[in-house]
Amino acid sequence: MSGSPAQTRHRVVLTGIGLVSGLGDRAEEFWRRLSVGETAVGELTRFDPARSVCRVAAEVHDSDFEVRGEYAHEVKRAGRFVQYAVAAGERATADSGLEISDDVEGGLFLGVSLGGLDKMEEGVLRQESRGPRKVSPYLITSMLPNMAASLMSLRLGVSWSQMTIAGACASGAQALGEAFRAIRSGRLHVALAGGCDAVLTPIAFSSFHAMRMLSRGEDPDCSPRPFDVRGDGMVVGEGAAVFVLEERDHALARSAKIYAEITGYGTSSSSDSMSLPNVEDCLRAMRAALRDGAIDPHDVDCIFAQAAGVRLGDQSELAALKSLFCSNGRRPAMLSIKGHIGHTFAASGPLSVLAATGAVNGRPLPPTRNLEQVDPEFESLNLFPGRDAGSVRHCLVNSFGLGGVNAGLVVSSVSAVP
Amino acid sequence: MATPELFQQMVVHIGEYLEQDASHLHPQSPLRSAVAGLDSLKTLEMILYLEECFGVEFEDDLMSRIETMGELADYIETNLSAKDAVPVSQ
Repeated sequence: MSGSPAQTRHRVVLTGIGLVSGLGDRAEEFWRRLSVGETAVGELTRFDPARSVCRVAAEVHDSDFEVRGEYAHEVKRAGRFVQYAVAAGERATADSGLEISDDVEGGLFLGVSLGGLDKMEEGVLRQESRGPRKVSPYLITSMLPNMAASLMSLRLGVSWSQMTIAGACASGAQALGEAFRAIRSGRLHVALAGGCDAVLTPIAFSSFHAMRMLSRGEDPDCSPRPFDVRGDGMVVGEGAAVFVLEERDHALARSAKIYAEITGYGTSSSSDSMSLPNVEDCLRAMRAALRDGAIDPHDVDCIFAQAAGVRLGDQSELAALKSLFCSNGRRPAMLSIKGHIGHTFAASGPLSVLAATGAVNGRPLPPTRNLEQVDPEFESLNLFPGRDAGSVRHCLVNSFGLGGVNAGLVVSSVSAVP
Repeated sequence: MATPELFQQMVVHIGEYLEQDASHLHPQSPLRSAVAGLDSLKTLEMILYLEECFGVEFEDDLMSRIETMGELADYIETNLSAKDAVPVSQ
């Protein structure tokens, strides 16, 4: 929207949803399976689990993400994160009904955390077993984090700006946030934005175990345990979620279906650690998102937390949530979907945004799976809101990543903002 | 000069790699344009595949020295003769 005054704030809505997840590849199915407490966590099958301390994972089994058509050869050789992102992006585009072309001021924003770790591991093993001459000429392009957005762009056949954000587990939330800012400022009319990751490989499991971040739970029905005092680590998941973000008037002009509005985004860095955020770090990101959207904490009905089942991190987040939201009798619902889909890293923020989109559209709230024992300090929080929590107008989504990258997004119902 | 049999064998392997019929290829077919979408990376990956099929090792600068499918077959033939070996894959 060139020519708009710099201070004009355009409203930004979600008009398309695309996903690849362990709980289906359609939004309605994802919301339904979340709400009844289904889980994608199961026995690890992608590689021999005997070699791993953690033998459970939230794998994508039944999603048809096989890519055909233009650049299918390159997509097939790329890491799984690219395949998931391309499929999710195309589903979002189709869902929005938007005609993608260079006639529209658009952009691509993809968050990628671990990217092509699967291909890197495969390449190293091939080099060691077959020699350096036998390494695939596609190895570099298969693992470059930008290849998700790059191949999406090539297949769409547009020359929009593309941006890949590497902010660890907050990457996808940051990608959505930066797309939101670009549209709100008037620089773009539309954006495809989200996050993706797929690293169910031995080296990923070994590395996370070395950090003592992986759950050692053997029973897939009981791992991970977000917010629970017995949380012993995360379970690795995989997937992608991509949205079409659109300037509200642009969407209204074409009579687009509007799922929700993004009303606030904030991101900040941790102050004293590169591993887990402390209470102040969590608060800073949440406050920034709410301030950005001019939303009072008391108007937030539901929080989709980062909580992955890593006890220290979960406890800091709970303390921050209690401090910010629980006063004057207010008790917003506080949830985590990591027990349903594991930790999907860069996809985790966007998948939580998807869950929040369901909540602001009246879908039943999901339970926090495997949460049974809460630290007495947090028993006053609304961690068990039940399926029907009444009208949900504003949701906050938290996303925190290694390196101290913290982000918050506010997802609001279409009717929440006059 | 590659035998017609070796050339045909190479064409079969190229078709396997491309997952499409490559029978239109002939010795004068230009290496870089006879197959749609055969860009530099794909060509290099195809060369790796042909190395596996024929049990030969191509020189790194080969692709800058040859122009046609026939020259590629000739190169394979010469290397097989030098090795005094038979093709691994029939």
